[in-house]
Amino acid sequence: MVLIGVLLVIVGFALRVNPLLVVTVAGIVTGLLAHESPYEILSQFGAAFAKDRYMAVFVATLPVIGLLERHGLREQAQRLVSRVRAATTGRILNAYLFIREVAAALGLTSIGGPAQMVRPVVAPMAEGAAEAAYGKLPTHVRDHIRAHAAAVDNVGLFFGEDVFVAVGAVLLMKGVFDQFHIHSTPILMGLWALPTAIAVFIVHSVRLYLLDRRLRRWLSVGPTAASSSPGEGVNS
Amino acid sequence: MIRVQYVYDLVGLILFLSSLYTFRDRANPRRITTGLFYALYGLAFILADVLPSFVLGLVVIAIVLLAGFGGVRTGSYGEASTADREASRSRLGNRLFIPAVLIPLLTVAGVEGLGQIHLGTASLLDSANVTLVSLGMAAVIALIVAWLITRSSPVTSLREARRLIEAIGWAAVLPQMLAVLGTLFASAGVGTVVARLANHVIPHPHSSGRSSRTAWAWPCSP
Repeated sequence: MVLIGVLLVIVGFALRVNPLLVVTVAGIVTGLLAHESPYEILSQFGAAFAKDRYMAVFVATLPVIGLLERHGLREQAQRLVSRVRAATTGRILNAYLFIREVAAALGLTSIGGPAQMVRPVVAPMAEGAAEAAYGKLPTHVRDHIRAHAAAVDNVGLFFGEDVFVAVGAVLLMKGVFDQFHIHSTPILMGLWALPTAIAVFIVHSVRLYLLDRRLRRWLSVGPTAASSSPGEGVNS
Repeated sequence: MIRVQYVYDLVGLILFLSSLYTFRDRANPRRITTGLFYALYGLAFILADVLPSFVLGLVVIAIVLLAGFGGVRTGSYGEASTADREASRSRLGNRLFIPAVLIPLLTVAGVEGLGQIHLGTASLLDSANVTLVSLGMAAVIALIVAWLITRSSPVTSLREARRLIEAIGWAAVLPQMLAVLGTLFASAGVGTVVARLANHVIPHPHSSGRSSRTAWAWPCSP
C-alpha cells in the first residue's frame, strides 16, 4: 500500500504537475497509508525541512555572484576565453571536468558548484569559445552548451568524491558492509572507486569531443541553417 | 563557536529581505503571493530550530501551495544595461574574478585550516558542519571584497541576489522537498516493502542461515 506514494510521484511527474505539489501530496498520502496522524506527518515535514536546509546554502553566494554579474563577470569570462585560439567549448569543459574530479577526489568538494562557478564563469567561457569560432549562437545551441557545463560539474563531483575516503557515501557503504559482516576499509573502497572515476573521465571526454564536433556541424554551415534544427539539441 | 545556524540566518535574511522588494514589484502579476513565498521561505530558514516541527510543517505546506498553484512569478529587476556592464567590465577587467575565486579558495582554507582550531573546549567552527560554515564565511568575505572592488552598496548586491533567486524560483525549494519526501518514505517503510519485493523477485543465494530479509531493511534507516 505504501508504494502508492511512489506511484503518485511517477504519475505526477509524467503529467507534468508542479513537482512541489506532487512531492508534497505523495508525502502526505504515504504518511496516511502508514497510519500516521496528520499532526505526525506535518511534524515530519517540518523536522525534515529543518534538517535539509543545508541544500539551499548556495543562496549565501548569490549576492556576490549577482553583483559580479552586474559588473560584467560573464562578459569578462567570455572575452578572456575568446582570445585563446586553442580554446574550444569541449576543451574548456574538459579542463573543468578534470579540475572538478581531481579536486573532489582529494576531498575538496567545495571547489565549483552550479551557482558559484558554472553560471558565472564556466558556462560563459564555454559559450565564449563557441562564439569566438562561430559568431552569435542560436538559443538552442546556447542552452545546449549551458546544459553541458552544468553536467560536467555534476559528473566530476559525483565520480570524484567517492575516491576520497572520508566522504559520506563511502562511510555509508562501509556501514552497510559491516552489517553484512563483509570486511572492508574506506581506503580500499576509495581505491576501487578509481577505475570508475578514470573510466568516467575518459567516457565524458569523448562526449565533450563529440560536443565540439556537433557544434561545428550545427554552426559552421551558417547561423540560418543551424537555427533550423532546434530539435537536435534536445535529442543528442 | 561559529554555528551553522548563522549561515542559515544569512540565507534566511537574504531571502526575506529580497521578498520586501518583491512585495512592491509592480511588474510581477502575483507580487503578493510571490513575496509571501520568499518571505516564508526565508523565515523558515531563520526560525526552523525555534518553531515546533508541526508549525514549521504548516509553513512548508504554505510555501508549497503558494508555488504549486502558480503564485510565484517573476518581475522586473532593474538589470544593468549591456552598455553599463561593458563599461564596468572594461574598467575592472580580470579583477572581477577575484571575489568569485575567493569563494572556493576560502571555503577550502576554512575547512582545512580552521576546522581543527579549538577555543578552550569548544571548536571554532561548528564541528559537524565545517564545510557549510566555511562556505558561509567565504561568501561573506567575498561579498565584502566584491563591494570594495566594484564600489557598490550592499543594497545593490541584495537586489542582484533577488534577481538570481527569482530566476531560480520555486525550483530552489525542490531538492529540499525531495529530501523531505525521502524521510517520509523511510518512516512509512517504503524501503522495507521495496526490499521485500526485490527479495521475492531475485532468488537469494543463501536461503539458509541468517535471514537477509531483516538486513535488507537498512536503506530505510541509514
